[in-house]
Amino acid sequence: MHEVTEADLAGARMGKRFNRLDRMSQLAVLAVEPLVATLEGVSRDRIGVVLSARAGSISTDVEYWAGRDRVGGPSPTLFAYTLPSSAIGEIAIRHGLRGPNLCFVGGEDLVLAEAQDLVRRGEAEACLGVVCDVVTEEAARVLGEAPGARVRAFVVGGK
Amino acid sequence: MTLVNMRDEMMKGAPICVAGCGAITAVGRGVSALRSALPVNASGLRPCPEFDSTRFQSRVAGRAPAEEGWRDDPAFGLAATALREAQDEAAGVLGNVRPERLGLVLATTKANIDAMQRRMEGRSCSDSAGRHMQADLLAADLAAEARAGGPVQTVSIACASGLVAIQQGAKLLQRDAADAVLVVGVDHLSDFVVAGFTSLKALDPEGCRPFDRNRCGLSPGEAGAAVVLVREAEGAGLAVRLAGWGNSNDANHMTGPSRDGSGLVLAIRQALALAGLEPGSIDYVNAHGTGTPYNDAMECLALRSVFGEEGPAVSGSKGMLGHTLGAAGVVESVLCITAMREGIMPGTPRLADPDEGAPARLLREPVRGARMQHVMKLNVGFGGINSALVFSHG
Repeated sequence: MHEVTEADLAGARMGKRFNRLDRMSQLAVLAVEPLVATLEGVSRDRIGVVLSARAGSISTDVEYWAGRDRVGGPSPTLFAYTLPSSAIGEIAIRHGLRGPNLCFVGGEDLVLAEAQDLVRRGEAEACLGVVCDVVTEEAARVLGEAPGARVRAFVVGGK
Repeated sequence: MTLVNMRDEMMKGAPICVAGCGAITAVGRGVSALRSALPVNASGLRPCPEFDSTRFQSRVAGRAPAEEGWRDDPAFGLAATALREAQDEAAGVLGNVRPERLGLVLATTKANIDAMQRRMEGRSCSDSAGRHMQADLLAADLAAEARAGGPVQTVSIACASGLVAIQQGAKLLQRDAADAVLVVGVDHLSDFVVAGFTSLKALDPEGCRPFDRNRCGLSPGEAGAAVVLVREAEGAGLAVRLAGWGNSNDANHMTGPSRDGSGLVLAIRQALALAGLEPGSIDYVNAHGTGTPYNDAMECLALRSVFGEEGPAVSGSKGMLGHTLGAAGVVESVLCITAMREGIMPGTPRLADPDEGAPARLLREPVRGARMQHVMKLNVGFGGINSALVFSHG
């Protein structure tokens, strides 16, 4: 299990592309980074990713829609991250993972069981589990709840 | 584990069949509207004046018929309408299912995003509409409305959400976590989404034309759609069963498909293996078919790679329904199931001039009386997500 919070982003050296990601994707990519090395020897076509996002993509939704009145409309770059599953795409691209994916809104308790099930069924040989709880201050105001940013990741299966 | 072993493992769980369907789409309310639209290749896409040309790339969209009181909470209204119809059709089977053994899986990308827009723009929004901007709370309230007291899941995996949700419903049954599962897909038309596709220059101003030589983008749509899944033993005599599925990621680009289609090929091959079918057994493929240049070209390559030059009959349904995002997998599955029941291979509404790279058996018009024993449904989405399902008769 590897856990990261907002504070871990400050010292992260993850390359240029990383800076373009939305907050949840940054934290998710950072959380799985040390775990992928443990999957050495497993075909990238057979590594799945199961993710839950407690508040969906609301933080990026709010940031994207705040730009609705700018010249040219809201940001196309941000629009790509207005999906709770965006972080899966970023993890897959960074590590070349082509196995099956699952993404839940809420359902933190489902991630481990569903990752294990993908491996048990043989749909994947190994699976990354990622549990995201990210609500920016702006999104927290819209939802009427407290902000926070924490992502936990773990591995199921493998050699 | 080999693909053969994967199939054996899947088959240890009981086969899953479809006991009921419901839909509300751009062609009207009810599966009956889809049934009427299929043989005449109807399109529900229309100019929508609310998407004015100063802010949006296209006015053309697939707007579902609204009911009084929905416009504050369209996601709940669309989903609940489809659910009720599916439950009514499956009433004979569901009558024997205890509420705590009835599960629900929701597929959506944006839930009731209209409520977030309203709050940010200082407009009024009811408490329930605000609650439903969170997809898991929308799922919980739909489960309560449907008296489903069993497991509830909320799947949100881009435009493959619907197909993945159907798989999750099947898995709940195979694990014996429920005796019946309601799978419901919903997304509603919103400024939020149409502005997003405008920013990506991804809309066709004239309305989408899947697999057409002159295609230049998608048309957004909205829908609620639902299927009731049961184990075959409980649904004995029901005609259509879920035979297999496969999923993969392109690992290539956030908003564009892989150029060679290899990610989708992985998903298709896995679905065929789980179904225990050779490529030549598939009678018909309902493609993702957004009408964007790169998506359709990628699908053509993937289909040719798996099925060869001739291949099965292929068509796309987004010229009829629009791109309904998280609902697409469920509503297009309902269309496939309806087509199987009616013995009609769907055409491709709004296709005028097939692209030279299009599948050899691309259907512009529907075909009556065609063999529809094994049908494949494909969806792909942002983040490189690919999903394939196989439905079979009997």
